[in-house]
Amino acid sequence: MMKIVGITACVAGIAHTYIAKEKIEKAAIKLGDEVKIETQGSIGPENVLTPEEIESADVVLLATDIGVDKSRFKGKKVVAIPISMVMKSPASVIKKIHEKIGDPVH
Amino acid sequence: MEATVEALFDPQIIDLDIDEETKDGVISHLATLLAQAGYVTDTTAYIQDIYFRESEGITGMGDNVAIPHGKSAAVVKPGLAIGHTRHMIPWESYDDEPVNVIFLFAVADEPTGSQTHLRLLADVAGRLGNEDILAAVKAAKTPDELKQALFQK
Repeated sequence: MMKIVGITACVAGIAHTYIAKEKIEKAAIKLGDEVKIETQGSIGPENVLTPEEIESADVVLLATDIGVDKSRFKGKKVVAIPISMVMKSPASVIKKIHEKIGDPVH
Repeated sequence: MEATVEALFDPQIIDLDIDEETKDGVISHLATLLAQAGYVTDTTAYIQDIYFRESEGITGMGDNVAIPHGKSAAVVKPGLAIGHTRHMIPWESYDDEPVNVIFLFAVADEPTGSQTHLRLLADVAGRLGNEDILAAVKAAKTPDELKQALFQK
């Protein structure tokens, strides 16, 4: 089990951002992970990650198609992927992260 | 907030029996509904903005669902047009499959005073990421069933 924090952001900030958040959360919870995803869409940042949450996270997942400020994640393990990977197969994204962090899913 | 979810639901911009065979046809059909219901002032300009967004990336989510959208100056009221098509429509998608359920988002270019609606659209988008809700949405045969599927708690 991992603690995942992350950001979703798409080009228009209307739909994909929010769909991807839901997909990541569902897939992570299914694997027993704790997860919080910040959305950076057209209505501005929501569900914003606190410094404490970032500090205590095992990994930072950036599913973004636009540039986001990464300065908050200095010293953290960051996995950056295009949002399309989450749209296609959220479960395998989370599994891959487990492998990368050394906590493989069996 | 919860009370206004209903505000997004408008049977005038829902057609669950669209007889079109192409992506252009479906987008044009739904854009026309949006224009007739007063969401969009200029159908041609709106459609151009949809295709601009299409050029930036894939809107076929997979599972036969597409979510085309565009910010457009032609949108005077944010809305969500929903269509089921009789035929499978070729569409660029994450799973390379065609679509038969289309959610067309209409969002104003300069969202002044429409933050609530944008929030609601974002909320609906999030729901589409939930497999159970999506399955119920796809099975809906009437606008009422669709409403229940989409806005279920």
